[in-house]
Amino acid sequence: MAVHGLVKRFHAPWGSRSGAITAVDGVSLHVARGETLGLVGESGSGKSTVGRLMLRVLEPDCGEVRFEGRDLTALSGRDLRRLRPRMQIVFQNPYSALNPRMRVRDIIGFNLRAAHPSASERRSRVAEVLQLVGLDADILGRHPHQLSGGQAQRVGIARALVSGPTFLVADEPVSALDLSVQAEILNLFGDLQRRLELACVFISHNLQVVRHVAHRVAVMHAGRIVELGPREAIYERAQHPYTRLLLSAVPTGSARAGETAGRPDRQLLKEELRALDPAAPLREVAPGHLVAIAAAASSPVAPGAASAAAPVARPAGRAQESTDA
Amino acid sequence: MIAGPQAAPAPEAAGAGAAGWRTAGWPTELRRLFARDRMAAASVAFLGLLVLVTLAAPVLGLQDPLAIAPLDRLAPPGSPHHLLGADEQGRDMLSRLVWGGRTSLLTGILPVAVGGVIGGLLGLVAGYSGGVIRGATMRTLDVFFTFPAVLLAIAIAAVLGPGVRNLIVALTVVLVPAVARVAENAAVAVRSRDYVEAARASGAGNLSIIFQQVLPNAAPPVIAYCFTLIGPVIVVAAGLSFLGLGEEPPYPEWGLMLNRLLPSLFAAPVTSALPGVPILLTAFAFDLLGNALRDLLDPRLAE
Amino acid sequence: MIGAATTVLRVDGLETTFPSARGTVRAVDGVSLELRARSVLALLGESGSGKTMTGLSIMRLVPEPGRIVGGEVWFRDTDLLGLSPDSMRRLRGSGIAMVFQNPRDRLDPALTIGAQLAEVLRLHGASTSRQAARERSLELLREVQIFDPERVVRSHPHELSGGLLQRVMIAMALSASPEVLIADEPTSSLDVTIQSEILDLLAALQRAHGMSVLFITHDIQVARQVADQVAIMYGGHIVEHGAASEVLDHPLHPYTQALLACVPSATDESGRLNTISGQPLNLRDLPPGCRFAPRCPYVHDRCLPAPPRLLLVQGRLVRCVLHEDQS
Repeated sequence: MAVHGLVKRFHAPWGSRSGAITAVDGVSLHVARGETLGLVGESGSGKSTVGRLMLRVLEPDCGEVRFEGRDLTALSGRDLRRLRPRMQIVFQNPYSALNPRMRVRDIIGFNLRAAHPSASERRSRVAEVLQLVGLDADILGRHPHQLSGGQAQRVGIARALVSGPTFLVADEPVSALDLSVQAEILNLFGDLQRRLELACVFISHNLQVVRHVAHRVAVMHAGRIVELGPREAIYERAQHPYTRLLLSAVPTGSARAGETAGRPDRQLLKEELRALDPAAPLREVAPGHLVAIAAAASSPVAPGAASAAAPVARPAGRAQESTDA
Repeated sequence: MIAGPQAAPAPEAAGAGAAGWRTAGWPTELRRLFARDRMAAASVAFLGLLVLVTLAAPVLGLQDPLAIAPLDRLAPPGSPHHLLGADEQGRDMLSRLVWGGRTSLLTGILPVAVGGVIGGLLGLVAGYSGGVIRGATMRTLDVFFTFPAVLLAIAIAAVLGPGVRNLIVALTVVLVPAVARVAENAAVAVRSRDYVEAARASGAGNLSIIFQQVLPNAAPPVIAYCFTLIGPVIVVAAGLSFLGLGEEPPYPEWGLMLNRLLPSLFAAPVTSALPGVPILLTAFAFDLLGNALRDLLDPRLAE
Repeated sequence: MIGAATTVLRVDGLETTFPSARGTVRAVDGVSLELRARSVLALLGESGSGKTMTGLSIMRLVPEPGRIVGGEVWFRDTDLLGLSPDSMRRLRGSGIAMVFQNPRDRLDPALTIGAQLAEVLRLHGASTSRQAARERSLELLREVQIFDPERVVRSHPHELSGGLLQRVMIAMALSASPEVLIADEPTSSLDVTIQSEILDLLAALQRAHGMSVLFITHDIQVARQVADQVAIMYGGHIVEHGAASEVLDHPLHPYTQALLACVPSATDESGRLNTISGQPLNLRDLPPGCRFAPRCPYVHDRCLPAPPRLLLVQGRLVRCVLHEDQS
């Protein structure tokens, strides 16, 4: 999947005070088979919109979307529909993503419609994909509300995979799940990626989660990509102030109460961000590592100063309570 | 039914959601509903009895509803030969009420059923399609909304002429926009859900999405709404017959009977008011049933 | 240095249940905890653990058809569960205040922020004149680090961001200077950078007002950042309760250990994440013994037939038979 110069504007509803919002403002990305691209950003960054533009569930205002070499934006409705089984989506909320009135077997089976399989073909394909996502066959007769969050999300993944896609957009697939379930599903994503050689775009606001699944990461802010590169480059050598801001907001697992180790000063980062030219183009600062920054501003970042390894300081002055229960 | 370890309910649904999720099949749910809601159970019983009795009219051994007997004019209930009395032409009230019930029920239920299906489909397609189709459909139906429903029904029935069939047509036409609006709302709500987006992303055509994904989820509020319409429609149908726009004399129909007995209101008040009782009871029963069904169908889908 | 060890809020054997067609859901099943003055207790758990319902039960805001069926909640020498509805209503906001997850759902979209703030102030008998109410509103907004309160006061909720709205909610909660603040996932719906700011704000306010905070969350890292004490909930029970640093760095209960192991910590990249085996609890069909037994790597027969009691081990409370010898 490759997109180039994507632009998408949303027009405010009639009568509203604000004008049109440019949700996606010139985004170019590519994902190869067997690769997971993490797409990270906060709300309003445009990341979900990019995912939907890639699938042409939304129409881009400008730009090109090429899937398996074909220009998706030039396809007719019918031709596009015929391609759809090869590019699928997994949603954030496992329950709202499944039709509450249908049983699991029909939910998954619906995605096979395009191929018009026979009943027995359909059954075997559904069974196959259930095994792939680690579910038992007794789940087939249930309704979504009878499933746990983890099971429901697995059904959502099974549905996406049943048509044999080569490209998958996962839109915050673990954000609505409990921590323990999140871990299961992330492991599942890793397994599936390896087994099926999918090209995957993993959208998330959670940097720690993305670190586990992505080979390359793109960071988005206000509709633009501000940094793009291989995983280690982003997490250890982030250059763009926004990336560093996101990384600094993540406390690590080993932070101790009362420690005041150097958490990068977020105020400074925010000022840097404000001072930046929003239209700065992406420049390659290292092989495969692009940053949207003016030429003079980029410099190799000292390790430890702005990476996620910095422990988080608890607010100074909090008294350490003794525990005498 | 689910065997083995039950999966946990929806996130944090230990509170709000837990009580609402229904996992049994709908026959069991219906049974449970009627156990809880005695009024609904009574309504169903009453309506069931009513339908049974009216359907069985030919074989119940009733007197001829059209047989005039001038000597028995306005006989009060409890008279010999006339359990519920006789009307202004001496015809047996009981028989006329039962036979009339067939017509009254028909003119109450059929318009709602037909109007519900037509309006429901129109609203469903309009709501899902959005854009020009939705605008054109709904604005066209809105024209009908500018008229008060009853007046519109009267106008259409007057144009078409008297008779039960014309009455049914008139009422159906009036109901279509109302149901369409409810269906459109439901369809619009459903179409923005993730699972519909997922269905679109699967490459399925619009028609199969509308009927397999949207319809089952949009239907419950529409069905519940239709049930609550039956009561008022029976009253309106009776009213139109009262005005001479529905069933024609000498055939019995509850509203028409009220009309014919009106001059005798002071002479025989009980007999004259009698046809009003089944109208009220039936309308009430359908309304209760509709409310109960709405409760039954909606929380199941609570998200 | 160490805050006064007086208890401000004490919950004793709280039980809240929900009747349902398929059996009673025991959302809160004998929860006891203590909130000390000027301290932050994080109530940590996954969905279905009962943490939100515990908070709502303390406030007596349990939604229908749920009911509090047992236990005591002591605040200022009063058992809240025994108060009349009117007295409880007067206490809400002025004694104990609550902040919820999604601020947008809690504000009236048709009114300006100023109008809603004024209403809250009036409710607690604070301001009499419109001028005084306005002054106080602006003051409150500045206290939650809103730097252009005049604009916010004139705005409607839909014109403001989630982070800003949450600050407004916090301002409302603090308007009557409550002693206790219950925060139910206040940052879960917010962006990560905003979340940090709101947590810092809450910490600053807690210090400034000398409040006690019951912080309900599912996020271990948030708990780490804000809490002095942590209580872990699972299946309607508290399974571990102690000092934050101790519980989170040296967990004793198998569930706590398993949960902490699931964190996609920033340093570990390769290999699979740890998970907790088995399925989440079905609250209508609880196992007879320890609630975690079906998924516990150390389960043995002493874990059944009844749930273990809370034991005092190494200065904290743990509900696990493994530690019986040390208790």
